[in-house]
Formats: sequence, structure tokens, C-alpha cells
Amino acid sequence: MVTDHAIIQNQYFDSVFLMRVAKRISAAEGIEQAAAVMATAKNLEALAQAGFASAARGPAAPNDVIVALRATDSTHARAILDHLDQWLNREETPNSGTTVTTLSDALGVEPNANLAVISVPGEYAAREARLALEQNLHVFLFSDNVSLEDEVSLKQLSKERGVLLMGPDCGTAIIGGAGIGFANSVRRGPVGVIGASGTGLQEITTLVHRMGSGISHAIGTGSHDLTDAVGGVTSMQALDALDAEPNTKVIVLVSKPPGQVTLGRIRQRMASMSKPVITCFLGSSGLEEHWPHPAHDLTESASEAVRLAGVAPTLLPGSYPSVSSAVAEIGPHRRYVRGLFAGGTFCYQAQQIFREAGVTVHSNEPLSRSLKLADPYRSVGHSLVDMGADVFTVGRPHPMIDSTLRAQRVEAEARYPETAILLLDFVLGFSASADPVGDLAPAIKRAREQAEGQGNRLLVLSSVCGTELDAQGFNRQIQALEQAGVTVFPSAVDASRFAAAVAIELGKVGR
Amino acid sequence: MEIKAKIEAANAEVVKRVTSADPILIDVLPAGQVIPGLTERMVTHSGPPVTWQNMCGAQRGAVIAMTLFEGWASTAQQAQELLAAGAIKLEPNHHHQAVGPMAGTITKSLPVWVVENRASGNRAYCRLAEARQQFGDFSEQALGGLRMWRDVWGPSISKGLQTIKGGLPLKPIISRALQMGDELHNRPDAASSLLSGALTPAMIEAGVAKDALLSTVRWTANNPFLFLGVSMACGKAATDPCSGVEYSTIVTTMARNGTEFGIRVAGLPGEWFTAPSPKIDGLFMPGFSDADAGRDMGDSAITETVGWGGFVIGGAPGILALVGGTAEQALAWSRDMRKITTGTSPDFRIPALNFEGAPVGIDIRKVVRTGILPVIDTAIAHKDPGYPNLGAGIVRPPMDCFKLALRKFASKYGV
Amino acid sequence: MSEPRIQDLLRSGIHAINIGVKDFATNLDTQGVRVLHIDWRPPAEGDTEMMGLLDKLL
Repeated sequence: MVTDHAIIQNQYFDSVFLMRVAKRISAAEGIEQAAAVMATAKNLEALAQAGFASAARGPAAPNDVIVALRATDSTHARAILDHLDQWLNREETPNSGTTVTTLSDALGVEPNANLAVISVPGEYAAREARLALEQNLHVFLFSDNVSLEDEVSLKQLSKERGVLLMGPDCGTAIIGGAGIGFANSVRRGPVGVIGASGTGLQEITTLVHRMGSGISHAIGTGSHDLTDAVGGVTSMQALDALDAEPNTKVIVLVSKPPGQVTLGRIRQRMASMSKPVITCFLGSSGLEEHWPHPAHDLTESASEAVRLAGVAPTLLPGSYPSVSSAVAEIGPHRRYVRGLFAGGTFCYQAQQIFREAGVTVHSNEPLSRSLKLADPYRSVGHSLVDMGADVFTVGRPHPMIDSTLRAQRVEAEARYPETAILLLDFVLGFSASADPVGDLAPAIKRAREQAEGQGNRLLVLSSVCGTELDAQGFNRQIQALEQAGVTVFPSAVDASRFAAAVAIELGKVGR
Repeated sequence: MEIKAKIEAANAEVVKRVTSADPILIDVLPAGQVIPGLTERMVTHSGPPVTWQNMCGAQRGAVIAMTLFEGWASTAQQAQELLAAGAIKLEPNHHHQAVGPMAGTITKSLPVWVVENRASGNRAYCRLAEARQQFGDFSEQALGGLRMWRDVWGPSISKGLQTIKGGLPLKPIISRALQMGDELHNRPDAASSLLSGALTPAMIEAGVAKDALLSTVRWTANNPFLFLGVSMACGKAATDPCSGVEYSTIVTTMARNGTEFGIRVAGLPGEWFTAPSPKIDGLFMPGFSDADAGRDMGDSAITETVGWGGFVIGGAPGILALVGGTAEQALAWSRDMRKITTGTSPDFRIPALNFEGAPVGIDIRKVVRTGILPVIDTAIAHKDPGYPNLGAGIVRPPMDCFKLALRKFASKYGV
Repeated sequence: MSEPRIQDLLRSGIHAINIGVKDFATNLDTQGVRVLHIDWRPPAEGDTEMMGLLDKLL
């Protein structure tokens, strides 16, 4: 240890400033302790008491600055003392100033704001939404776990104020060409979409784009809007709005089956609309006959919409093997489809397709309660798993952002000798992972190697929800999948249908 | 809705009272002559009520010093025995229309600044600010300073003030000082110079004898903290008339005794809401560090209570180093303080902050709602008795004080 | 009959205040949408008793 000091003559610095300089110097390499003071009698005494005796002897006058330090060696001491100018002049790194913290502050800064995008934890969501609605703002409410009571009350408030409450549990919207939440980049066009499901909106809007048309607006309603408890408040507002809005020529309404009363109200409203409305109530069969433009699934919704808008839908490219050659590739003891979905609606739609094909599937979010998986981590028979369900996402990011759990599940399924097919979805666009395929590719590779190691194949099937305008690069993602030995279908419907057809063949005795 | 309107109206009234306060420096007189309820054997102290047993080291040191100062004991040992036996009463300054910085100790013989709020007629008292005894130093040197104030400086200033008809108006000094880079708590330098400049001709006019005059002027002219005692008395004189305004959620007192931090609220008169006093985030004199520091102490947060000190730190470039040092930060801190206050002062404006008025009227509702706590810049005492000033830093009150107050408010007003 | 405020939104586009996940604001900004991000903290630091009192008092 060495002690050393320097005197700067005839320069005044504020004592607090000097204390901070001393603190910064103390943190420098090789410095154990530092003091910086104006050389007043009192301060010289303090220096002496602090162990800087020679500095205290000066000679220095009260208008001089003394910097004294204790260092590991004289090189480190001189490194500071020979460059005191820098220490006395150096600016601190600026801390960012306070930002806006409340809605009223925000409106003070941006009085013309028209939309509050709210994604706070569920227990605060209703309150924040209410504050926004009370200011006559439209609300995009991403948060879920809002109580039914709060939801009904908020929807009423939005109706009173004549504003849209998109949510709760609304993941996607596209307004005036701008995507909110998890949304894709699509061209503008004549198709308007109203949907209770985020991934449902994403699939329809991206398919409409890829089929050659475009989107006017896609209005999310939140997952419960068409239940009888809520009564379709937002869906009705959206129907009215898109009916009146000049750029929209055709409307798609997508949801799980509405409540009976709400169903009637919707049908009544549709009767007086000036534009065709395609209805897609996923998970319901038999409703279609009573509706003017029923669509069976998300892909049909898109192609019907494009057709009714006066555009011949471009056939979506995709080359894939026949069912029989796929069956031939699969190892003899392998029987079951294991679907692992990031998008809940894709899981739901796939279940509908399998059910219609007569194939029984289990799920953690089943179409019918009797088919619920006892353990969501353990597939049974054909299983289609919604990896975005609460059980998997508590305390972790959603599978559209983070693939850790899904990757683990891919490898787990591959280890079971009965697994024949992995059915996967990949969602691109805003807020999704920067490379959804890349995130899962290593696990897929290991899964396939695992199967080859057992002397037979398992098949990996997929679809990609996105457009070439999305940052992740639609074509790059497809290429990466093909390189990983994954078969890519043009839409989730196509992938599910193929999987179901193969499942049927695998189920036949004496295959 | 009704209660919200009542609260808004009450708070507006409180802000009006604080911003229309007109403090005048009347005199400097022995505390026993002017402070109501200050009895023969009593030491009043800073912060909320506290017993000798629970007093922190520095405040005990200061109380011992006053015991010696008054001659109630001749050694520190004797003083401690008296205090432990309860022979000397200990009460908060705030219960006696008074305030004091750091340990804040006042006894009957100690002269105090006498400030009158001409707008409402009440008076407030504050002891002198100095760098030794009030930090817990009971040495002869520390006592010597108190004796000079009692025997020479205080009486000289008192004589001078007698010649100023009606007393010395303090609003002009405060306004000018705030525009000269003071914040009136840890940077009262400009105000001190202005006060010294006003007192000197007055003392000459009053015919103060040359030796006393020289000694006093040398002291006032070289004492950057001269004005702190006065600014604190001004703060106290401005807030006392607000106590008892029904429905008001505005803080009228923030005070610490080194053991606890206490606040009082206009609509909840007579009640303290306390929590353990926090440690200060500070910068230290050579040879000292955080490990030596006591907890936050002093009535000087009365300056922040009326919108000075930490609330206008953005306008005090000399002290910016305490808070990291950049102008952006200073502005940010001031902006934060406006989120928890009710109005601004029309008279006290800060050039560096675009001439905004100082933020006035800390609202306990807003503090709890936003999570933003008032910023106080303060000096630091040692945790043990016998040491002078260790350094300076930033501290915030405990959130619990405000939550306790809010809960009591809701209960009192039937919510 | 469509609500004027909704028609306005569809016609003039989004001018947003973002409360919560910063990513949502960033993405809107990337698309050229005017958005102000709020540095949101739970009111009363998440203390539900205090929030209840504040609802009645503030």
C-alpha cells in the first residue's frame, strides 16, 4: 500500500462534488481509499485523522484542492493523480429521466390518443381497462384472468361509451394496416375479420394475404365475447363498423360456437347487413346449414372470403407425399399422432378435423371433457396438446415466444415407441420468436435421429402461419423446416387433414 | 364522489395557506422566553416522540451536550445518569411550535430564531444550525460554539433585528436565494449570504460593540448554513396553521429522530405516523463510510414539506452531485415530486426548472398510489455520540408512514 | 348504425398508449404508429388494501 496526494492550486469545487469525485476514484482499479477536499484547516484535520498525514501537511491554502489516496502501488496512484483533470471534469452517465407512469399523465402528453393497449398482470387488468374506457379510449386488452363479472361490466361500459373493447384475452388485432399484439404483416385489402381467437385471426389474415387478397381491418373481440354472459357486445360493434366502413367488401366472423341467445342476435344482425359475412364457428358441426356463408375451418374461411371479394384465390404452394407413401415410411409399431401446438386455435381446429375423420384424440384442452388428458405432460393415444395452456405457461413466456417446453416435449414424444407423427405449428409475425423454426430445429433433429436409431421413422408434419412480409422470413422458415426433414403444408387445416388420414391408416389391423 | 370533492377542497385550502405564508424574522431570543411549554428541565428534540432508552447514539450525545450546556450536570457520566433516571423531560420540538436540525435539541438558555407568519399570525422557532453539537458531539469545542451563540452572536443579531421596524421580511431573501441556486436545506449558502448582508448594517445601526460585532459578522459571513435555522422556522410557521383542516390529505410534518421517521397530516391533527428511520444514501468525509452512519435524523425535512430542499434540487447545481449530477436527473426528480404534490408556489420559482414554482402539498394518497416517495437531501450523523458531521446524502421516508396515515384517514372519515 | 368513435378509429388509424409489455409498443413504433409507452407499476405497489382505499379517496 502506498499513500500519495496531489494539490490543485486556486480552484474551488463544492464539497459535495468533491465527495462524489472521491467516491468515484475509490472505485478505480488499484485504489483502496480516496479523499478530495478543499484545504481548509478543518479538512486538513480530517485528512490527518483519516490516515493521510502527509497530505494534511500540505502546503496548501484553503482555496486549493487536495486529492489524497491509498493505492496498491505507486503506478495506480499516479495513474489517478496525474490525470485529476479528467476526474474533476468527467460527466456521469446520465440516468434516464422519469417516464410517464399513469394513464392521465400519458393523456396529458398525448391528448389525441385513441387506443389503450393493455397487457398488465390479470389482477390489475380490469382496473386499467376501466380507467381507459372512462376516458373514451378504445382498448386492446391482452391480459386474461379477468373475472366474468368484470368482463361483463367492462363490455357494458365500452358499449355505453361507443368504443371497442378488444378483449379480455385478445392476442391479435390489425387496425388500419397496423398489427397490435401478436400479428402478421399483411397487405391491405377488402377482407374484414372479426375474431375471438388470436391465432385464428393470424391464420385467416395470413392466408388471405397469401391467396392474393388483403385485409381492411381485423378486430379481436376477446375469447368470451360471443358467450351469452357477454352477449357479443364487441362482435356486434365490429359487424356494424365493418358494414359501414368503405374499404371492407366481405367480413369473416370466427369464434368457438356462440351461446344460443347471442347466436340468434348475430343471425338477426347479419340479415340486415349490406356485405356478406362468412361465419366460422370452430368446433361446431351442423350449424353451417343455417348460415348464408358458413366456413368449415380457418382455411375455408380465407378462401371463401377471397372469392366473395371477387378475387380468385391463389392456390397455396406445397408439395407433400401421398398418405400411403407416408404410411410406408413410418416404422411398423408406430401408431399415434402427437400434435404439439403453440396456437390454441390450431389445436382446437385440429381436434375438430380429427373428430370429423372419426379419429379419437385426447387433449389438455379437449373438445369434449371425457377426452381430457389425465396428465398434460403425458400423451395418450392420439393426442393434440395446446402448449399455450395455463398449465404450461404459468411463470414462463408463451410457446410462440419461447420454445423450451415444446422442444422438451418433442424429444419426450420421440422417445415413446408408439409415436408415429409429430404435428407442429409455427407462428411468425410481431411479438413471436425471431426464429420459431430455428428454436425447435435441434429438438426435431434429435427426435428424428432417435427414431432412426430404433431402425424406423417418425414423421414430422407442420404448417407455418405467416407471410413473406413478416420479419422472420416466411420462405426462410419453410426452407429451414424442409432441411430439418419436416414436411410443410400450406395451412394448418392441410397438415391436420393429412395427419388424420395417416392416423386412420396406421390404425388399420395388420398394417 | 362526495368525499373526493371534500378532500380536493381541503387540500386546495392547505396549499393556499402554505403559499400565502408571509414569514418575518422577528428576533433571536432564549428559548425559555418564547417557546410555549418549554419548562425548566426539558430538552426538546427533533422527530416524533422518543424515550431516552430508544434514542439513537447521536441524539443522545446532543442531549448530553445540552444537559452540560445548562449546567444540570458537570460531566457526561452525570448527565447520562440524570437522563436515564428520567429527571429531564424529553419532548418533540414539533409539539412546541419549534423545529431543530439533526438532533434538534433545544433548552431554555439556547437562543432560537423567532419567525412570525404575518399572514396567519402564528410564530415558529428554530435553534441554530451548526456542525458539531447537533450531530452528537458533546466536547468542549462543541459546547464552546453554543456558548458563543448564547453570549455573543445571538444577542448581537437580536439587537440588530430590533432596529428593523416590523421585522426582517424573509420572502424576498427566499425567492432570490432559490433563483441563485439554493434549495434552502443543504444548500442555503446564497440565503445565508443575503441574511448576513441584511443583519450586518442592522447590527452596526444598533450599536453592537465592536468585538461582539466583529465576532458575529465573521461568523455570519462565513457560515453557509446560517439560513437553515431560519428556513426551517419559515417552513414550520407556514405549516402549523394547516393542522386541523378537515378532510385534507396533505402532509404538514416530516420529521426524524434517528430512530423513527414520522409524518403528520393536516386532516389528522395531533397524530404521528411512524416507521423505522431509514439509512441515508450518502457521500462521506474522508475516513468515514456507510458503516459509521446513523439513521436519518432532524426536523429539517420541514423544508421539503413546503416544497424546498429535495423538491427543488434541480435548481441547486452545487448539490446535484448528491443525486448523480446530471441536469436530466434533476429535472426527473422534480417531475416526480410534482406527481405527489397538489400545487406549486406562485412566489418561489426555479430558473433551472423553467421557472416552475416549487411543488407544494405532499398528498398521502398520491404517494401511496404512485409509489413515489418524497426526496429529502440531508446531512449524516455518526451512529455513536461524540462525532461531528459525517457527510450528506439522499433519503426517502418509509412508505409505511403514508400507508398508516391513509388507513387512519379512511377510518376517521368513515370510508 | 355504427359508433362514430369506432368509425374514427378505423378511418384515422391507431394513436396508442401502451400499458404493460414494452414489446407491444416497440412493434407499433416499427410500423410507424404513434405510441407512448407507460412505465407502468402496480398502483400502491400492489397493496390491494391500499388500492381499495384509494379507489374511494382518489
